[in-house]
Amino acid sequence: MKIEVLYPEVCCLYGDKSNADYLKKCLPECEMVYTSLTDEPRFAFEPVDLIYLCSMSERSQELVLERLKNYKNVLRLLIDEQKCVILAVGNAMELFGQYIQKEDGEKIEALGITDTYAVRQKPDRFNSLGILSMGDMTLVGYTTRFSHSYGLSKEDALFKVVRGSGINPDTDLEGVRKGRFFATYTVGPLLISNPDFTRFILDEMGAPEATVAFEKEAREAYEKRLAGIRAAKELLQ
Amino acid sequence: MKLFFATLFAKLAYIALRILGRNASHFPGAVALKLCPDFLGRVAKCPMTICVTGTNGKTTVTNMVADFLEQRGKKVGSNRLDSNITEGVACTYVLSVGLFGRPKVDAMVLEVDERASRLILPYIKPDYLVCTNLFRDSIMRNAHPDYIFEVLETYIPDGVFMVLNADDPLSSRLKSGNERMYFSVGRQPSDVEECINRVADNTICPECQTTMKYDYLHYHHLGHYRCPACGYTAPEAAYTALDADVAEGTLVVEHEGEKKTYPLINDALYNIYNEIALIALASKLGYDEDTIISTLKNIGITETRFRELRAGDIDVICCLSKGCNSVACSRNFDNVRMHPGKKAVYLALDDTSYMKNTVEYTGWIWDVDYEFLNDPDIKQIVVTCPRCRDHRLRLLMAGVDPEKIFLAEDELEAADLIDPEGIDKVYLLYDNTLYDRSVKIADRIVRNLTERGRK
Ligand SMILES: [Zn+2]
Repeated sequence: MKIEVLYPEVCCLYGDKSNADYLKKCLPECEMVYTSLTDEPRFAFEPVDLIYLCSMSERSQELVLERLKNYKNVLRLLIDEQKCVILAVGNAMELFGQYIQKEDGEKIEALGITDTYAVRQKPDRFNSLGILSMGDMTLVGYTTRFSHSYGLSKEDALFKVVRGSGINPDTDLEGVRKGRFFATYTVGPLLISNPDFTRFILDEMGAPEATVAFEKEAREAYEKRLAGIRAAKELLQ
Repeated sequence: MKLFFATLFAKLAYIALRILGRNASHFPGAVALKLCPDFLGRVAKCPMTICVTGTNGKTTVTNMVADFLEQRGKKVGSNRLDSNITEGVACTYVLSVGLFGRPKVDAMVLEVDERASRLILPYIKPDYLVCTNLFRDSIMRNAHPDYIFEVLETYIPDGVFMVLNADDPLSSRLKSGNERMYFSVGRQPSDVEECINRVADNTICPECQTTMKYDYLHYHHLGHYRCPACGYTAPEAAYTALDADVAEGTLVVEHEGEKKTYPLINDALYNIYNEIALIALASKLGYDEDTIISTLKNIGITETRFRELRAGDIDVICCLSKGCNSVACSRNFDNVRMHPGKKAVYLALDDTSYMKNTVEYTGWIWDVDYEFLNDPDIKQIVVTCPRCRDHRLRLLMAGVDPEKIFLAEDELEAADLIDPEGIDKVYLLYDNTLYDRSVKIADRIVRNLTERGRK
């Protein structure tokens, strides 16, 4: 197994890195590859099992797009042919869409792999807790961002919102799924907070034999949080 | 006239609140701003205005600068006791000017919240601005350091003299067109070359995006950096703190190639940063080295962060550990690890201001170096508060032996879990919203340990 974490020197906000650490705990034999902005991504020249991209600053989004656009076709192929799992969290999701519109109206061209597009609204920050569902799985999550995304169809949505907001305040759809490509605005310990979703990702990676690390403790934390968010009077923070 | 009435009513509000024995650090400022929205722009400028901002250390530096100037015989207006957002700054002005907005003080020394700077700095146009550093802070409020940099870069007026931290690759680049002076901390015995913290922001070269190398690194991203690809390097510091000698109470400072010995105010590395920032600013204000040295002898740091209690032969150390601020927590965990002795650690890090209506988001704990608590001298870790299960999970991920971790949601119940067997110290780390409760928790721990000691 091989996990490639892209650009950790800038894609490192909000505790997102912990998800890669958690996968490593679930897959102790797994090789972790950390690719920096000056490296050629590993996925471009050899097979990897999962590519992981974390939240970044808005300025860094442009740096990362500049790097990734050289590998646009490779990424598209990996996604279309379901060659590996790709997990993009926070505003990394926006990189795969059509464009990111800045506050002044200027549009930054994105990778164009999904139909969504993002609109920034700095300095308005959007922070919210949420409960999401995928099939009969229930997830807890949190989003913090300066932008919303639009243009998501029901077929392409990764999650349905049970409580909280979708990829924009007017939709109950959250995240994008395209085969084994999974993207969500959910930040922080997404996998650690959701043992069922971790199980799902491990299965998608072709590791059904792997155990979810610290599953008992993770489940206790999950149950407590889920009950808390269900009962919460306020989700926006 | 608007200014007159705004000042008058704000002063009356202040007097009324004081008579009632209520907190008067915010409301009078709000009154002034309500009656005169451009109050801060209208009050006359003081002979000297100094602002202090940055993620960590700004309160300490503000206090030290105000103390320093008072020691030098200046009349100083400062928001030491007021808030660091617009209302607090307005409140300080209300008390520092006459009814017609004329200053009654020689100098204003203001702590300015980074995000509130946009509503403060363009109006009061300070003469000097000290930025201590930029780190990650509350995720929901401060987003990320790049954002805070953008806010400061946009709203610090041109012409303000900048006193900046050369060791911080981000804040050292603020307002490149403004005149500036840098301070730094030189190589320390505890330094590393590769980052051991989970979080290090802005470690790529701003010119070519290559990951920078450090000749020495103090913590997170503070140190002497250089780009191996293009040669970009940390700016030259006018004042560099070198060796701190705790026993002698001295700090060697290098300035223009010469070394001089200053009094050491506090030996924590972050406080050495605060002191060297003050020394740099004081020299810029025209004070000579001997004057600075003699004045520093009379300056202390009021550390409300620490309280030390004693239970039999066990020390109980209570330490404020601001939740949501991953760097502040990591610094504390590092201190716990570095101090000698066998220890038990009690973690009450939830932000209780969230409890009434919602659930605190604890994503920030994944940026904190819980790995520092995975240490053979730390015999036991007790986690409490509603989010204790998240903290337990974080400790497990940090490799802490599950046998060492104890959990109780109730804080007092958790206090009873501390096992005095074979320990010299108990560290009680608490979020600032838990201060009142921390006193009760500490009492309970001390009582338990003393009783068990008797048996
Ligand atoms: Zn460079």
